[in-house]
Formats: sequence, structure tokens, C-alpha cells
Amino acid sequence: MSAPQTPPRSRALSAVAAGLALAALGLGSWVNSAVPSVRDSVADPFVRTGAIGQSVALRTARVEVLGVDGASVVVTPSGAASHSDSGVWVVVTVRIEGDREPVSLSGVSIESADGRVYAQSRSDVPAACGEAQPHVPWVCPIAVEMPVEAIPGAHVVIPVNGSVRGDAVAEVDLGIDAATAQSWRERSMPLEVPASAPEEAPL
Amino acid sequence: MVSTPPPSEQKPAAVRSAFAGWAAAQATPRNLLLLGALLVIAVTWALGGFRSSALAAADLPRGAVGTEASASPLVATLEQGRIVDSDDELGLPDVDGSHYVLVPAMLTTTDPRPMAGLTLTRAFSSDLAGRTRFGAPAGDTDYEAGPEILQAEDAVPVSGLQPDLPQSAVLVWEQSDQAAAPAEVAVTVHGYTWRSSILSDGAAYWDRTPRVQILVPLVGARTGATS
Repeated sequence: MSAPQTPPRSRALSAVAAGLALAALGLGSWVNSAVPSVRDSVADPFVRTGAIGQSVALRTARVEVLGVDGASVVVTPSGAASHSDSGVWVVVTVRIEGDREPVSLSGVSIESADGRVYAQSRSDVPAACGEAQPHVPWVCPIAVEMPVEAIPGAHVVIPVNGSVRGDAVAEVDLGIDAATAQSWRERSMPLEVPASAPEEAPL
Repeated sequence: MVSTPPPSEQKPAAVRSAFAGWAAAQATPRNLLLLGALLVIAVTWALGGFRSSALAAADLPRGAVGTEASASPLVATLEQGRIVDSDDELGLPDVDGSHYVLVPAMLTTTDPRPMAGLTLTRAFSSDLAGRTRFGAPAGDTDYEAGPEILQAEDAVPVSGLQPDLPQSAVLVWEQSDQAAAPAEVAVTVHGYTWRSSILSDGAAYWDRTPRVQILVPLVGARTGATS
């Protein structure tokens, strides 16, 4: 006794269904990779842009870049000199004032015009600050080592309490051109980086 | 006139015909898909697709002292090393029962993001026996912790590498005097992949993988002390 034969029409329908299923899987995979996931979207920071001398309101604090300077050698608060072999120390002075809770500055980075990210690279050079009590502003020098060619067009990214995921961050254009960056590299005098302190205290 | 095949040829022909019939009956879409899947698995296995991507130390590409060794995103150029009991410039004190193995290095990351100090430290491992404070507890030869990495300029620990900013450094291993300090040390440089993980928030350097091994000659080899 022979096995029942599948009708040709039914076979064709099965093949079409299998093809459609494969196509749907492929399409789903492509959509999944092309569209940001909910997890990524939730993690995106809320960027607030500003300029030097302009206060930027974040979720729990206000920050302001007071100024920027640079040199190939910096003198840290401990009095030790720190050399940059082939780059420049960019020192950004930031004022932070908490609104409702103690806040600190950590995870501050400088992003070059082409998207490279520079952050703390030496434990003896200040790159964090705090904790500042609500409405007791602190002034914090943040020193980051960068290659000379990465400095023009760079901006500083300032999160509060170190979190850039799903929280507000300030982005402030540092307004540095190539000539200024080169002059910092050639500067003969070390740049003194003071310790962070409450604004009322002498730096 | 039709000639009939001899009896010796009739039997194979019948078998072939029966097999063809059986094969045709089995060629359903489901069976063809299963066969295709098995073929994909077999070809993947034959091409080594199920082997670990990490190479054994013996199979690693060899780098040379004084030339750039790439272990993406890290690029390291190691120089001839030395064995010392202490080093004032690097702030390494003379410790009873141990000595230091120093390997000068120029380090760069080519990624557009900084590499943290701990990640950098774990990018290096060595075949030194009897590593103590920096490398491992004495006698634990399986422990793979990296060296202490100090700035060559002022001996401050390197707490990170900046993108495209070469850093002159010294890799420091501390080794027990009980172990022989060899005439050369095999330093393995490990690379990483920057990716997100289901286990943590955000992206990070994962998948530490040995990429290249460099035999670094050492000045000051000595035999191990007998206890």
C-alpha cells in the first residue's frame, strides 16, 4: 500500500508559506537592527547645549563653564607637575549648583569635532568634583589630556552625578581654534590646576 | 528485435529503480529543509565555525620588540625589559623576597573612546612564574591579572588611555625571588570588543581575547633562590 500523495497545489502553497515565513523573519531581523531599541532610546541622554559663561539647567542642578585654558604641563593641587608626552592638558573650569539634592561632577568628558571622546586618564589630575549641597555652588577645574589636533571645535559634556544614560547632560562648545591649541602645547609655563572648592572659598 | 539484459544486470537496475522511488517519496519540503539545515551545520563545523575564536598561546601571531603590535583597539610597542630589585625613578621599593620585571611600552588606543585603566591592565598577561603583588598571589600560576602600568615620565599609575594619544609607560610585574627570572618573557596582548551586553547597562569593552604574543628579552636574568 503506497503513502497518500500530497496534491501539487498543496505542495505549492506550502512552499509559498515557507518562503513568506523566511521573508518575514528576514524583514523582522532587518527592522530590529535598523530601529533603535526601547532600551537604547531610554538610555539616550537629554542634551542641553550652552556656551561659555552661560548657565545650563539640568534635571537636578545648574552648570556653567566659567572658562577654559590649556598647557602641556599642569601642576596638580598636590603640587606635583604632570606632563603630557605628546598632547595638551585642557582645563575646563565648571561651576555647579544643586537644586534639591547634593550633586557632584564626575564622568565629565571632552568630545572632539570628529566624535572622539576624552576623559580622565590620570588619577593625580582632577577630573571630578563635589559633593555640592543644594544652593552651595562649587567651582571645579576638570583637566583632560588630548592630542593637539583634537582640540579645535571640541565641546565639553557635563553630566550630573556621572550619569549620561537617560538623564540631562550639558554640552558646551569650548570655542578653541587650532592656533590656541598649538599655543597651549608650546606654553613654557606649567598651568596650575587648583583644587575644587565651594564658590565662596578662595581657590 | 529487443534484447533483454543479462540476469546479472537486471538486479542492480531493479535496486536503482527502487531507491529512486524511495528518494522521490522522501523529497518532501520538510525533509529537504531538514537536510539543508544539516548541511549548513556540517559545513560550518568543517570550516571550524564552532571552534573557539580564542587562539592558544602557541598559535598566536608573534610580535617583535620595537615594532607595533595590534590588539584592537590597543596598539602596543614593547621594548627590551630588565629585572631589578628596586627602581627609585618608578618608586618601586626594594622588597625582601621579590624583584621586579620592567618592560617599557608605548601604548595607544585607536578607538574613538577612552580605555579605562583596569581594562588596559587586563590587556597584558605574561608567562612569568611566581608573580606576587602586581600579578598574582605567589604560587598561583593560573591567575591572569595584568601588570601595574606606570607612566614612564613620572611613575604615576596610568588610569586610562585617550584616543590617538600615545602614552609612554612601563609594565611592571613583581616576581618572587623563589622563581627563576628568565632571560625573556612572553607577553600576550589582548584585544577587546566594544559592545553592549544584556547583563549591564550601556556598552563596554567585552570579549577579552589574546591577539598577539611578544617575546621580550630581559636584562638581568637570575636563577631562582632555593628555599
